[in-house]
Amino acid sequence: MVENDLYRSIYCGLCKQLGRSFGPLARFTLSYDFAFMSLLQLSMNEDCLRLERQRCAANPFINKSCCCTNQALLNSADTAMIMLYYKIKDNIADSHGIKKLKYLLALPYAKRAYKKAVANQPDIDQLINDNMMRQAQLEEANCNHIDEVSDPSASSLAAICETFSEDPSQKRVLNRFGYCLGRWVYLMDAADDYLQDLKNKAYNILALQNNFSTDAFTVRQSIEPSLNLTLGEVASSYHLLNINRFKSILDNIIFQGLPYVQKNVLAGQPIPKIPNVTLVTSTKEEHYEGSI
Amino acid sequence: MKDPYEILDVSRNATDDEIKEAYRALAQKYSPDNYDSSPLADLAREKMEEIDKAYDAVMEERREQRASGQQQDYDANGYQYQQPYNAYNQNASQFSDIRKLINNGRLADAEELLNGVPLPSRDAEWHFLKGSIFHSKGYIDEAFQHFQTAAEMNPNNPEYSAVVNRMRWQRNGNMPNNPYGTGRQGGVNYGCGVCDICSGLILADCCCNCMGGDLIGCC
Repeated sequence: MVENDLYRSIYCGLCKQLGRSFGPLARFTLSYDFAFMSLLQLSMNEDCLRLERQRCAANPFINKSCCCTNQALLNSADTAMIMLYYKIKDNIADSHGIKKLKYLLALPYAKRAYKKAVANQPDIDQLINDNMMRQAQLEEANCNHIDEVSDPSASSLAAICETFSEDPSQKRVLNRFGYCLGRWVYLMDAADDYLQDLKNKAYNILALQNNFSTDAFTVRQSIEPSLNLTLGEVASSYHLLNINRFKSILDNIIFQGLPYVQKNVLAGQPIPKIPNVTLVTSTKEEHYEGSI
Repeated sequence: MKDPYEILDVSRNATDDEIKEAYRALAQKYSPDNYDSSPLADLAREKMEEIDKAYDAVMEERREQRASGQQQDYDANGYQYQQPYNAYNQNASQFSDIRKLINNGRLADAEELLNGVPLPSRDAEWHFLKGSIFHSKGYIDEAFQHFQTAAEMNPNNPEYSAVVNRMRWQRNGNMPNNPYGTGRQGGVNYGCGVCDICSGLILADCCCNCMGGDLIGCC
């Protein structure tokens, strides 16, 4: 099987899993980020992977290969719902008017899914909750320190990745890997949302670092060395992971996908589809991709 | 112990040269140089030991198989990498106790002691250790600043300059052991890039031209 298709079927499998665990609306939260987390977790174990051809809601006439329920997909779906709930709560606090109403309407649904997910992952929830609060405090205090302000997001992902293995050494490697990846995602979000944050007078670490300059290009370029260094750390911890399978997809995502996305975001360009590059881990959620 | 061939990721039918090559590539990947000041340095070292043992085991096994007495020379040590490197084990140090704490992962204690050092005594090593703590915590920008200060204060220390050089190299957009081949270590260059295809075609065209033919009409 072409590896690209395999990644795709994990993505489709996650979509189906979200539907099974939390109802059809949850499938709209599907993203490549969580597909990647499922892939990483699956690559660390050797559990049998079952694929089935199933009907796809987005393209009802095409049967797609879907990865059947497994622990990795269950965990990713839970984590996605926990993150969604906090994100919606965060958005309610940050937005006004009609946007706020939109999030308020989504809240009861998200809360129901969240409660179900927390029952499965109470530790992860506690950790994300603590980190979100720490993040809010840092942003409230206008923290002007890149390492410090990206620490909560990084720590959250570190804790999530750590659960992918039982082996103590591998847990350490996964923790470092997740930390650096989480830091990268946080800083990439700051670069991506720069102009919007400036307009909304929302907190953005790059704005503080660059005296609220409106020259988004220069501002984005200024963070490049730090992002590069972060990716370098992601790579050196990745080499120490005991990857049992899917190595070529993971290699592709880490060594080609991530730098590619970074290059585009820093240039202020949308992230185009990448021919021959399997991955598309974007910092934005991509709805409908594939199999809703 | 796992199958040494599996560890080296080579088949049992591989030639000695192929095994050496695989060993060399792995040794470069897990070279202590790539993990200086990293909190995962000990794991990289373990991996390196595992690879060394696997290589020795394979070579020993093959030597025994060639029991006929026609012993071939082989390089018993294979790839020479630098001595296992331990950032925190230097003796001539005014902060050896702090190094020990960092080595044992007691970052908060080490940081507290470092912060208690009065300003005039904060030498290059102080900054290096401070950088190591930040690096372990994942505060890599701050770590880089301190490593740089350490290297500026003592430009002759190879330990400091090695870390700074590696981080600078990464900041320029290089990823260690990039399997797609742009890394410092070269990695294993899988496949063939667009440039390779173009240069290959141009070369082929040159050859054809020499022989009186033409492959690419316009050149």
